Amino acid sequence: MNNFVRLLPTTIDFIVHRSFSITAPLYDLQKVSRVHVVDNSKLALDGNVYKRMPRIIHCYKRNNNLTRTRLTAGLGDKVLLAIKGQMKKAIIVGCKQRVRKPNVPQFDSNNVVLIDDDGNPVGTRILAPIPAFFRTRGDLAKIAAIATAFV
Amino acid sequence: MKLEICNYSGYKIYPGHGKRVVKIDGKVHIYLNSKCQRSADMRRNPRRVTWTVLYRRKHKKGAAEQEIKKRTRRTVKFQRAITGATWNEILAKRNQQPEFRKAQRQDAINAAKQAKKVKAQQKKVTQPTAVKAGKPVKKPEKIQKTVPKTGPKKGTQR
Repeated sequence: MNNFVRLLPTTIDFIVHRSFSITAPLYDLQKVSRVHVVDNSKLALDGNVYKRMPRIIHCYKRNNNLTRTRLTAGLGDKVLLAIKGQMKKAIIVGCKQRVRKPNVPQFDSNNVVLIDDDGNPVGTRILAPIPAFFRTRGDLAKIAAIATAFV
Repeated sequence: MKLEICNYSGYKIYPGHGKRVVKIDGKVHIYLNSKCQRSADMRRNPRRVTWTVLYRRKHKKGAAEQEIKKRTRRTVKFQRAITGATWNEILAKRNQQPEFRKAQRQDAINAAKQAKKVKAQQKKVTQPTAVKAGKPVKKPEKIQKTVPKTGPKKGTQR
């Protein structure tokens, strides 16, 4: 502990003198990203209090570029989650990563809604606000139908 | 396009500006720029931050508020009738002369005295036994004529 404390000021001084340019952290959702399920389904309620937070284990991106090393998912994308030891598909309804598009909000937590293989939501209500463009996109209409609030 | 108002500073947000953030509890905050967002994230109370609209409103800065204060309310005195007495009756009572009132009072006293006399005589008739000297003599009671009130009461609460 003492060693660490002595080291810290010197590393910060080093950075200040060298004037590194550090980009803002990227909050993209990818494999191993922890998410918060905002359904009212049983799996969601159990999964949120389980010993491990629900995690993304695969992103089903529409324009899948397999040469990319990192496959990231954003608002409205389908992902595969590991919840409570099971695998379950889900759709991302809230993202911490800022999307520079008009009328698309930024969320303070990464929210996700569970769906089954047909694309039907597992729960009956969504407890968080949903981005408004979910109403206009056809493949997200089922999610929009059970939403309580739009942003 | 709809003009938003910044949640923090109170300024108008024109299209192409601003950022919308959804908090974990589901509340939506709209910020004009990163200055407002950073201040909000630092949990600075906008009511203490001098350049925000909330501060100015709280500390009553600006000419508009002072103008409104200058316009004071004036109470309107309104004469009206009451159930049991029309406006004319009230006026008549108010405009009675003191001599008239005194005369009325005297009449009332006399009438009362007369009524007393009649009562006493009736009693004598029913009780033929002699009245002892020690019996206390009833004094004629003076009737207080209530003076009607002039105008609306002062100091009534609305």
